[in-house]
Amino acid sequence: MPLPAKLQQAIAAILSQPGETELSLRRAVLERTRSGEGQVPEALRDYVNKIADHPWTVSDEDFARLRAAGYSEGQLYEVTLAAAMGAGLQRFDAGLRALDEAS
Amino acid sequence: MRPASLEQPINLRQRMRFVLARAFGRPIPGPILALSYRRNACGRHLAGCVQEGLRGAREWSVWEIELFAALVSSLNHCEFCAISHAAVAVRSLGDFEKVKRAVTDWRTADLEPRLRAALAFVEKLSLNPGEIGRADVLAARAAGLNDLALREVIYVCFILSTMDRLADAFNFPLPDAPTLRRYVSIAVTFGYRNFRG
Repeated sequence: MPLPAKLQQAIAAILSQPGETELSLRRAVLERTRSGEGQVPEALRDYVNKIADHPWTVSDEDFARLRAAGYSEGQLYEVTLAAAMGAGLQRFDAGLRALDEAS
Repeated sequence: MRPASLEQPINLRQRMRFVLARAFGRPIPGPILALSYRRNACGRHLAGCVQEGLRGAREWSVWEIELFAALVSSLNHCEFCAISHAAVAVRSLGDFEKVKRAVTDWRTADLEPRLRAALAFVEKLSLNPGEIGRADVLAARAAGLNDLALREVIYVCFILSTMDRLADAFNFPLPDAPTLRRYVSIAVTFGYRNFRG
């Protein structure tokens, strides 16, 4: 069962539009929170995991630490968007898979 | 908001919009700032999903869709989205107590079996997506949900699972009471088209 067309456009945009991060990084972050399989740089790993599992614990200190590690605000925006969408897609995938199993 | 650059207009159109809003003392809602920042990178498409998922449902009324959104956000500990969507559900239904009971304890709330089954499904999908499966779909069908109804619930779960994380990461400011009333009026009247920025 396919994802909605608008959602496919959103995924295509985040994985193909030019930005401040490499496309490969955005893809890795999105896959990390979507399927657990993306290889995320160590400096970002805790932050991405937080977005996936405990987003309400993200703090100013997380952003300060990542800025100190060399990430720009634009890069952090893109990483955050990819991580959040991946977590959402994990649920969409799981729901559609359950529907397929019951068909 | 963090990072601070999210609060800066990115083009002339947005600059004028921000100036006007701030001149009237009206803060720009966090979701608009987050999705309009580099909107072509993804935000405008994601904003389109929000409008489609929260206002395009055929099997559920607006208040039911907003209830699903409020429950997912509550489970995700996202105060901004939980408060906002619960308020839209209350305005749409006109019954504060029913919405409150449904969000805080849907298992004992006086709800139609079909709605209760949808809430059970969306709760499990939010908290334990790896455990949702055939038995959950069969249980929902037995309570009267067809596959389109389930698919619409899944779409809401995707939207809020994503937006809650953006709200927390970017630290969307909580609206005061008058601002929340304005947000609710816009959401009830126009839906979420303005999220495109």
